Amino acid sequence: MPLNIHLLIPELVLLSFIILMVILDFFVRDKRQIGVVGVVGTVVTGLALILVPKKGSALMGLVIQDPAAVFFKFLFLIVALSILYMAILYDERIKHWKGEFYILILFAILGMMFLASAYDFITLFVSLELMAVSLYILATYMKDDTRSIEAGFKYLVTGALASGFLLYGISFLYGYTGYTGFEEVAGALGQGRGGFLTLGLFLVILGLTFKLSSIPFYIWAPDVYEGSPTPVTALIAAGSKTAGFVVAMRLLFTVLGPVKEEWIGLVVFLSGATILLGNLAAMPQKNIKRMLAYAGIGSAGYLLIGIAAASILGAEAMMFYLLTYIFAIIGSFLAIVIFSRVSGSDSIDAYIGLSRRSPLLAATLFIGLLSLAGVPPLGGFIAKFYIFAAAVKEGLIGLAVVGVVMAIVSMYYFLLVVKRMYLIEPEVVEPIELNLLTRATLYGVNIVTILLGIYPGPFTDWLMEVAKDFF
Amino acid sequence: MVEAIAFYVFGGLSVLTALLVIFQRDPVRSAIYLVACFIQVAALFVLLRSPFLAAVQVFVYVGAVVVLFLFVIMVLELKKERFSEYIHRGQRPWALFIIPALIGEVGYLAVKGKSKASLGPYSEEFLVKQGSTESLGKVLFTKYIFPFEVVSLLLLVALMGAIILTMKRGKE
Repeated sequence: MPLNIHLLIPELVLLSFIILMVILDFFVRDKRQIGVVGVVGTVVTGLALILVPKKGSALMGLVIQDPAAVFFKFLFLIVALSILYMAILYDERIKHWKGEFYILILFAILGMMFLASAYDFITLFVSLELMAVSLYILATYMKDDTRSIEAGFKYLVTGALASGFLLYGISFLYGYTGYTGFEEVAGALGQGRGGFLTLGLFLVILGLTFKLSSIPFYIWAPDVYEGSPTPVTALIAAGSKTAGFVVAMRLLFTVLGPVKEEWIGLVVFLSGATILLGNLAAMPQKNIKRMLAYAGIGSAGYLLIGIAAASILGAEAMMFYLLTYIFAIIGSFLAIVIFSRVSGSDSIDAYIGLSRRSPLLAATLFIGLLSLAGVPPLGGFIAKFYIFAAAVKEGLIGLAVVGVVMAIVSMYYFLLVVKRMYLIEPEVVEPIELNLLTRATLYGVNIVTILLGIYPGPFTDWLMEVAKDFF
Repeated sequence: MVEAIAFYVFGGLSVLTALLVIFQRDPVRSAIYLVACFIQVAALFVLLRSPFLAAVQVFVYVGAVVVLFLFVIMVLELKKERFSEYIHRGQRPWALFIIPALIGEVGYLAVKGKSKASLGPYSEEFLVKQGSTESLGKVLFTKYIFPFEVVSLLLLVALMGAIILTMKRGKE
């Protein structure tokens, strides 16, 4: 098989910029400039990604490039841009090793980009660990804050356990088929079934739920979301979850598609339980990052409906959901980072009267949260609509009903924040100043979220084409 | 004939040292007997014509894991009498179920013989002809060079993490 290393040029460009940042870190005093170099690197990587061929397999079939992989790589680059920007805004709160903060963010993004292309269990596992180890370090970055240390420790321990599950499952699949490449495994699965296959499958799916933050490995999410530095929380919420779903889609649709009936029951159960748990547990939360953690668990449940549907429509719905989810998360967390610089607090009560102090900030959080809740005419509504449509079409009526009921329940906890921002009179009324770049970014994110809701046609048509690659 | 004698010597010694690991009261001695046990197992791997596995066994288990054990024991300053406090009493009833199950499993495999899993491109004849170390090296540096390089990035990140999380300096 050919090497085709040119398909990996975007990743190599990003890696070169990371190395450049490591070197520059020795000379630069104001570490925010390292972050700016990272932003430039991300943009150049994006340009390279536009030029690179959109189809092919590289490095002896260990890596694949298809429109779906390119779509997810663009999503990761968008995440990278906004997280780097958040990190630059967050710079003053990081006390030690400021330069490495930006470098590790891009290492995590690099791992995610490799994951989007992984077509072999060994590539998959190694890329997954590259992302995970970077995130473990980032979650623990505020060494003076015990909550950050607790977050990092919990993340590491659960992550190691989940990796163990995943690896054990992979070893069963390897033992059963004799191969690690996705294509060979898929071919060998067509020839027969066995008890060890099902065991391996279950272990792999359970191992992946750590990245998706769904049942059973969701326990880390609230503490890690609350304790990590906010840009890292956003990176885990937007990037790590998306990466987990890329892997889940590639693995379950492409490789394990032929043995669909073996895993669909498990996914349906995980999906329903996760939706219920995430949305019900989000209600009593007092901290906005913690609330978003449970909302994120709920979202993982909705996305699992798409997996359970196991159809082209399901895959398309998941990709559109992830697109709107990422923009909603970016918008909400940008607002949270900017607001916490002024107030120094992440508690929901601190948001009282935000609309008086900064209408734009309040509007961004409003649009982000309501898009997560799935309120029309925002992007999140169309995404949920497609997910439920895919479920109904595949006969998963019960799951769709649970989803719709819980989507209505989720309005409650999102509207609690909205009520505090808009309806309660604040004690502090001094306005929050935003510079031009921040204003432009916030407007941009809001416009995308609204656009995805009122004019989703071109995106959904295109994603429908992309989704066909999975089957 | 020589092979059979070597097998019984190494096998017997490994069982004996494994028993000594759990019957010692002093944790440091336990760890040292564990080293001896691992070396016997490595010798068994050589007899099974897996020199690579034997080398990894010595490097990873003897070289790294047990040394780590010893560090922990010395840092915690475990005394003989206090060692038993770290063993949970609740584990005993479980052990009574699990140990016979494991022995039964080993016995079943010993009677049943070979497992029938498919080996992919690496059949037994292929490995005997090429040697497992050589095949592994070849495949690692040709087909799997990409994951191999990603692992080097992973180690770089881990190194940075170790410095960031443990070093006090770095205030700018």
